Amino acid sequence: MSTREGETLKEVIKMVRHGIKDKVAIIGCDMTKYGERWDKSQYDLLFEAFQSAIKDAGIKKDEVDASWIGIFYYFTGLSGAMVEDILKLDGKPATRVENYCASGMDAFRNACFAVASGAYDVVLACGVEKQY
Amino acid sequence: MPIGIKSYGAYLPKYMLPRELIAKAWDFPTVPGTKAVAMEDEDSLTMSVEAGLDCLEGIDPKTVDGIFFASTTQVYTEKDSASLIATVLDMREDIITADFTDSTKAGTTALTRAVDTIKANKDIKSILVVAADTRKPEPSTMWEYGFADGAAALLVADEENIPISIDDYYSVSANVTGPWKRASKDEFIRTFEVKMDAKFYVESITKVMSEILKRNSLNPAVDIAIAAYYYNNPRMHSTISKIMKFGQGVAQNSLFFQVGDMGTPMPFMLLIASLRRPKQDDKIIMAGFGDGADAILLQVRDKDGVRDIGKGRMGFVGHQKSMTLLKNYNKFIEYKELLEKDRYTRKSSAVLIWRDTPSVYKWYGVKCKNCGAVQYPILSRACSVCRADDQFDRVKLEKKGEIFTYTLDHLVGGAYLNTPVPRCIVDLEGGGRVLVNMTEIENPEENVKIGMKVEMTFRKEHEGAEFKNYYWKCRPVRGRP
Repeated sequence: MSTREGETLKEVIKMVRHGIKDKVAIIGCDMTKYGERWDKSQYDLLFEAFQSAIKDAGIKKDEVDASWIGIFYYFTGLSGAMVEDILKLDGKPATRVENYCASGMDAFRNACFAVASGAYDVVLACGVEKQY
Repeated sequence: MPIGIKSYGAYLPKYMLPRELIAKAWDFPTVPGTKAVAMEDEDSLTMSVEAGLDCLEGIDPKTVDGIFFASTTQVYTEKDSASLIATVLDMREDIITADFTDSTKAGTTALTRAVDTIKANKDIKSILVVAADTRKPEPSTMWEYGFADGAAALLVADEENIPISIDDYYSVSANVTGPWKRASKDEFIRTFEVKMDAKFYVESITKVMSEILKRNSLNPAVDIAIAAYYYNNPRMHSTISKIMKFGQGVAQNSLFFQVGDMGTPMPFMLLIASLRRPKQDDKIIMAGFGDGADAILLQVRDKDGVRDIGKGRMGFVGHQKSMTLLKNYNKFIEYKELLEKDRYTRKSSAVLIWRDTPSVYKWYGVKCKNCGAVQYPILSRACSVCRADDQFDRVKLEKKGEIFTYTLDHLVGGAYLNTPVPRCIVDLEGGGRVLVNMTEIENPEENVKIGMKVEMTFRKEHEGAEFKNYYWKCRPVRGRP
């Protein structure tokens, strides 16, 4: 291993060890009521969870800079525009993450990286699913 | 208070098939006239909605206490149609509903039961009786000349100043193995011997009308101004008129040549067509036939009232005026779904349709209290225009508008029928911008235009998830008020 390669490896190890620890905080969260909620659509559910989460955080919806949403089934939606459709976060970047049952977790992971990178101050990580 | 007919409504599909095209297709001797043909996105239920809307024009549907649906071509044999029609018409939930099926006299039977129900129950003041049929004739049989599609509705009510009173009714029962369709085996109507069918038809219908006239001491030659009795054959029609000794021009006989044999709605349609020039105190006899017969005696109590009903809706004439001739027989075969074609099955969900009933069936949108914007569909709780949260009031949308923009879809649904399908963004009168398909449009490349006026019509979309999926479409204006 050359010196240069060794230095690079050390940096990678340092980053993995260190990660984004202490760089990102969850400032508010909530979830929908549990149940067989035939009378609610994906629109209703995400709206409900989002409203509670921003209330928990003590912020307004305009303060959210970008959003990541985990959706697996196409029945629920196929793009980040679901967030825009439901919450009307006009002009804010929105990304759908699809990663099987880890879709929600991965939306959260990507949202964390966005804040850690310094690109945004406040972002939304969410997940919604409604098969019919 | 007298029970009678407060309002009426009719529906005739857009297209008429000239009978000579049937003759040409099969090398048959021709029969004169035309018959009404529903499109493939129509069935008894959608036509009932149209007739119901026509009947309830200017009347709040929430004031009606019940709905009876009559048809031999109901769309489900388990699951009723009346409740779905009531939902689309935006009627109340605390109403009575019933389907009357299996006989072409189901319409008149439903009407008589409506009278009974109103008489027997002080809380029920009005019932909408709607009859519709879309019987599929077997190709290359004589049924093709007769069977036609249409719907008619009568609003039966108990109130002062009823324009047409229902004074009496009388029924006979007759078990005839006449035209039949086995519940699980037959796609088409069968018969054993048409001459025998005709004999029982003439006997039943003359018996029922003679009896009701006798018990009301009425002389058919002088006392009856209008006779609207079901018929499926113009020759039998005049035979009956002679047997009954009705005066000249009393028996309503022009509909077979103009629109054909419509089945259950036929007596209502004859009545509606005959009310164009009502005379005060005219006595009317209406009769339905099918394994027996019903006769109903009516009287014009307020001729101006009857004329006002006619002015405020499309009725028979308004629909008839806006009909168009089909140019070839194959279109008829296509509309009746007599061609085997692969049809793409779309996804659907009964839960979703139930949840979205206010928007999908009842045609409601929302209006933002903050900025006033009317929006459809009802998706989010946040306003699309001003982004305010939870500021929506539910509002009923208008069923008229104009094309804001459109595209022509050549691949829609995979059925490859009547493509391209115009997919239109329609700006509704009174607000709201909706995305709907267009129906009843020929040559869309030339005929769909930005700014063109359209009306909303309730149609069958597809049969995803193995049930009937209905939704609104737009159509070029036919003249709904």
